[in-house]
Amino acid sequence: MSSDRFSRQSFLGSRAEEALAAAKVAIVGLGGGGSHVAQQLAHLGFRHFKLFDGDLIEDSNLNRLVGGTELDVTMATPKVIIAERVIRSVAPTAYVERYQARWQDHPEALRSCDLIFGNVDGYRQRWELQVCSRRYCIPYVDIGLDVAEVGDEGPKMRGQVILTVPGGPCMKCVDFITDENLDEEGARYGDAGPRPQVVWANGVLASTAVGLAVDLLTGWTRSVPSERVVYLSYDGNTGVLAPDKRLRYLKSSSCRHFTAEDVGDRALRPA
Amino acid sequence: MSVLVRLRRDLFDAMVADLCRPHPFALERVGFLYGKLARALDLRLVIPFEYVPVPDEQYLDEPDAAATINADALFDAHQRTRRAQDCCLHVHMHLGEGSTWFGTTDLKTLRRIGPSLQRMAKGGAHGGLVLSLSTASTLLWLPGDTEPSRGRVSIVGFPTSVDWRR
Repeated sequence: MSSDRFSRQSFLGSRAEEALAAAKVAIVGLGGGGSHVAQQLAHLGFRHFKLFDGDLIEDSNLNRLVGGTELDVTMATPKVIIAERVIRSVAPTAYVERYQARWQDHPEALRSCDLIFGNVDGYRQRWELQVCSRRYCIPYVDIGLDVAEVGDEGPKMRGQVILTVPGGPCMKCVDFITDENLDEEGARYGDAGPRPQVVWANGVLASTAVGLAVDLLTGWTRSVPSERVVYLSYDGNTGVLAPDKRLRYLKSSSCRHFTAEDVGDRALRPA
Repeated sequence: MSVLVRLRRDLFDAMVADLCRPHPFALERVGFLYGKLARALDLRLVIPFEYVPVPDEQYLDEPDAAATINADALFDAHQRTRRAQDCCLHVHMHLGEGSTWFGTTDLKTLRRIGPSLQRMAKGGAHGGLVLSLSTASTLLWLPGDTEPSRGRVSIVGFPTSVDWRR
């Protein structure tokens, strides 16, 4: 590895280069958010990637999918291949495992990761990643973006970046995922619907998520969130990213939804 | 197949706090850490969920060792392991920062405890965990193994320390 390559990020700590290079990172979803994440992690010095996405690039992805080209659309290139290409263009020797499938079809691959980035649509998919991250003791970083039309007020762009760690509050504890929004989505057969997405907002959220991950793995800011969770809300209309107000109502820095013993492979017990 | 212990940072901090407490006569403290064994693509995971300190009264006043626990302490650990079929790790600590490893006496103790725990819960991974103030190392008997494996230990939380030893 070039000794100069990371000289501008030496403030991350004397062992940061080793820590980032060693961490096995899963990126679930390689569209608007995940493609930014993959690119930035490669630049930062991450070298172990597991990429999960079953989709092929389409014309409607080109407004935001980093690394995607018109030729890819013509060729219907899988998104995992585009992400691998972007990673290898920066880090040719990186270890990249591609899973052109749902992560649920390769759960043992996800479990071996040290950190999960979730860039998925819908609450159900997020919750499934959260459950996996808790059972196998893996930090989970979630990003998401949505644009809603409310009355005559014009489009409202909102997003979030949430970092949860085992033992700390989960996405239900911070009220981002609720039984109601899971039920509502379930009534639509899990269809989260096509979400409006734009490259700059995806970039803001992905960059923030990557920054949180680097701090988590290097501890360079030497700060620990008192709530043991990070929940940032993004107002895309004003460009403000700030701690979500729901954190104020958090009753505990422990999780109310997963017990300490809810870990490991689920044992099949006789009825 | 390699082994990785994924230890929650709050659990690690709680163990350090407990093991740093002075004992009336023993020079160090010990405890037992319980966890579940899980499968991942290229490794076995041990995911601890509860630390149980050895109570003061279960130490023996033996001048030749920093800490010796009595038969009740071992019996309790064995019984719990047998009942729950969990993984069980004997835990102690070496004061100081940075990486640490088991001493000669530690290894002799582990060679007794590891296989005996293995008989209690054949599907688990058992052995020892030695902490420093900032990190941990482990030696484990995996299901069916007659010799222990040196595992890696990652501490997960704010911050997360990924063990990058291969």
